[in-house]
Amino acid sequence: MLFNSIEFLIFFPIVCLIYFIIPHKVRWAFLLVASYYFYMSWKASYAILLFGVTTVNYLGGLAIANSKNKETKKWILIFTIILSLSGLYYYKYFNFIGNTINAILNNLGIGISIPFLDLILPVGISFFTFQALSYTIDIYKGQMKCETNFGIFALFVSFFPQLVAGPIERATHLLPQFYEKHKWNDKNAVVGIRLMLWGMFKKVVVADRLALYVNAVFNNYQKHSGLSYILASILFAFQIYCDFSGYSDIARGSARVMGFDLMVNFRFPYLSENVTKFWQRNHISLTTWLKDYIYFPLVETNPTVLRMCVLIFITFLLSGLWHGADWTFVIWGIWQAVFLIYDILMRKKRKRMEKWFKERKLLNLSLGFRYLVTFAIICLGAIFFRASDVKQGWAILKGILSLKEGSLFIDAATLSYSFIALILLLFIEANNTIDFNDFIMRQKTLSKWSLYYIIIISIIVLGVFDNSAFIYFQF
Amino acid sequence: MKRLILKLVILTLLILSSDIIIGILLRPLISKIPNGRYFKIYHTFYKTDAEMVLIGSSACETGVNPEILEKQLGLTVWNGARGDQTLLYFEVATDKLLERKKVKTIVYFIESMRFETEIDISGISQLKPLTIVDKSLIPYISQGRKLEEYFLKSNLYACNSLSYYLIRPMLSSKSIDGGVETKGQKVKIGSKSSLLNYKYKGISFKGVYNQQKVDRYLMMFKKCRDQNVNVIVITLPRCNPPYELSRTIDTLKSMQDEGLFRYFDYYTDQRFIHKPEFFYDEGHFNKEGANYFSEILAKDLFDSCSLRK
Repeated sequence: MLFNSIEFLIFFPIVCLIYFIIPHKVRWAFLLVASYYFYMSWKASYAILLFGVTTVNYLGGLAIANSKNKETKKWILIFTIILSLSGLYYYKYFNFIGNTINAILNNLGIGISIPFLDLILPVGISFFTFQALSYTIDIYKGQMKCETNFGIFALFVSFFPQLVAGPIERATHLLPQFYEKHKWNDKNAVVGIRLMLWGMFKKVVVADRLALYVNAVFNNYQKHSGLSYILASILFAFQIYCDFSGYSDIARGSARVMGFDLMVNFRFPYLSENVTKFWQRNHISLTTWLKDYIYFPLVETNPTVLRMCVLIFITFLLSGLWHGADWTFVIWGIWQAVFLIYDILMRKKRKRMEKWFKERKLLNLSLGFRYLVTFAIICLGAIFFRASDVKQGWAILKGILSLKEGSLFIDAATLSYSFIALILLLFIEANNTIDFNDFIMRQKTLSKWSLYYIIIISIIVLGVFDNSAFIYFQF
Repeated sequence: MKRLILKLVILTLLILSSDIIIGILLRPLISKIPNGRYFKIYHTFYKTDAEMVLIGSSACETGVNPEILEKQLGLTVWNGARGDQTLLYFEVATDKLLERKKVKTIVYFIESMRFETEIDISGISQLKPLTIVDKSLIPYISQGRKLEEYFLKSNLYACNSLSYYLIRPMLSSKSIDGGVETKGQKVKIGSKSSLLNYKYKGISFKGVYNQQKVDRYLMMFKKCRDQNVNVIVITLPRCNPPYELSRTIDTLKSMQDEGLFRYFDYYTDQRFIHKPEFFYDEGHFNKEGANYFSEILAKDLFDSCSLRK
C-alpha cells in the first residue's frame, strides 16, 4: 500500500479511529494486525519473511538476555545476525553475487554458472531487517532489556508508518511508546497532518514531477547532451531527496497523529558545507545505524586516522550495498567514502582556512562556495545511484566532464512546474531547523493558512498522480 | 477536537470555493483559447462538420495535408490527430464523432508496433481540462482508476499538470497544435540535423503482442461500421524504419480481410525510405514530405476506396 494511494487515504483514518476507540490493552494487537495488513496488501506471502525476521530476533534477544556467559551471548548474536541476513541475502544479493561469480568464471574460461533466480525483492526488507537487528545488538550491548511480549516486539518490527522505508527506528526509542497510553490529542493531530501534507507535496509535486525530466534523460541517455546530463543530475538529487524525505515526513506524520514519535530522518542535507555534514543530515536513521553498529564498535578500540579511513570506506561500501545489489551502488558508496576520508584528512587545514576567511570577513562567501562544491559532489555521485548500470553511469559522468555536444533538452511544461515547486521547497526547507512543523510554528496565522492553501492547491494542480512508488521501497 | 474539525472544515471550504471559481472562469475560456491543445480537441470532438476525419498521433498531425485530400477527393477533411495520442484518444474521438453523426469516413493512423506495447494512459490525461466543459469524458480519462474518476470531478484537478498548455497558446504566437487555417495539420519546416547524420541500424522490436489492444481497436471499428462510417487504417512511412519485423502490420493486413476496414501500409514505402528531404525528423514528415505523401494517399484512397464524392 502506497502512502500516495486511495487505499491509504481510506486505511489510515479507519486505523486511527479504531485505535482511539478501543481499550489501551488491545491497541498493540490492533496495530499489529493493521501493520501486517498494510504489508500484505503488497504481497501477502512475503509477510512470512517479516514474521521470520521478527521471530529470529525475538528469540535471539531472549536467549542473549537469559545467557550469563559472554561468549555464549556473542555466538547467539552472530547466529541471529546470520539468520536475519539470510533472507536479505537470498532475495537481494544472491543474483548479484551469482552474476559476479559467473562473470569471473567466464573470464577464466570455466564453464560453470550459478543459476539466476527469478525473485521479487520483498518491499522494505533492508529496513525491517536492520531495525530488528538493532534491537538484538542493543540487548547484547546491554543498552536495553529484552522485550518479553512477542506481539509488542512484532509491532516494533512491523509498525506500518515506517515499515517499508523507515526511518529505521531503535528499540530504545520506539518500543516503550507501545506501552504508553495515547489519548487523542489535537496538537499531535495537527502536527501529524502538517507533516503528512508536506511529505505529500514533496513526493507528488516535486519528486514525481522531477522524475519526468530525469527519466527522459537517463532512460534515453545516448541522445542527450552534457548540459542535459548536468540538469538531470541536479534535478535527480532533489528528486531522491523529496521522494525519500517525503516518505519519512508522511511516516512521521501518520505515527504522530496516533501519538507516536518517530525520529527525524532528514535535515535538508543540501545545505551542507562538506560531505561529512551532508551525512549527518541525510538519511539520519541509516547513517546512525551504520555508525553505531559498524563504525564505532570497530574504531573505538584503536582510533587512528588510518583505521578511521579504512572503516569509513568499509561502512560506506556496505551502505552502497544496503541501497542496492549492483555495482552502481558500490561505486556510489565508494564515492561517498572518498570524500568523507578527504574531510578527515583535511580537518586541520579546513580549520585554518576557516580562520583565514573569518579574519577577512569572507566566511559567508566561503560557506556558500563550500555548499555548492558539496552539492556538486553529491550530484555527481547520484548519477551512479540513478544509473541502470555502470556503463550508463560512466557514459553520463564522461558526458558531463567533457560537456558532450548538443543542446539542452528542455521539456518546458515539466521544467516550469518543477521550478515553481522547487522554489517553494527550497524556501521552506532552507528555513527549517527540524521539520516543516517547526517552520509553520514560526509563521503568523495568515501566512500559516496561506501556506496550507498554496500547498494543497499545488498538490491538486501540480501533483503527479500516477501512483508511482517511493524510490526507497526497492531497498 | 472541535477546533481541529472547524479548521479542517474552513480549509476544505476554501479549497472547494477555489475549485468552483476556477471552473466558472475556465468554462468560457477553454473554447476561446487561440489555436492550441484544447482548441484542437474541442474542435475535433464538438465542432467539426468534416466528412473525413483523420485520427492519429503527431506523425499524422504533421504528415497529412487535409487540403490536398479535399482537392483530390472532393470531401471536407479535418486532421484531428494529436501529439502523444494512441488508442484511448482514438476511442474517445471516435465516440464523439459518431455521436454528432456528421462524419462519413474516419482514417486511423496506427503506428508500426502499436499492438506490441502496453496501453498508454499518459497521453489521454491531456484531455483533463475538457472535463470542465464535458463530464462525459471522465470515464475515458480515468480508465477505471477510481481515484482518478473521483478527482476529475474537481475543476482544479482538471487543470492538473496542464495549465502550462492552457496559458502557452495565449502567450505565444506559435500554435502548439494544428489550427483551423491548416485544417488541423501542424506544418513542420526543414529537416533536423540529427536526421541528416543518421546511421541506419535495423533492430527487431521485442514487444509483447497485446491482444486486449487489438480487441479494443476492432470494437472501435465495429462501432463505426454499425453507423455506416467507413474506416480506413494507415501505417505511415518512416525515414529509417527501425524495426525489421512488425507483427502489428501483419495483424492489420490479416484483419482487413474481415471487411471492417481498408488498410494501407506505407511503413517501408520505397518512395520515402532513407529520404531525409521529406522528413522533419525520423518519424515526422516536413512540409514537402507531408504534401507528397498526401498526394499519394489521396490517389490510393480514390483508386481503392472510391471515396470521391
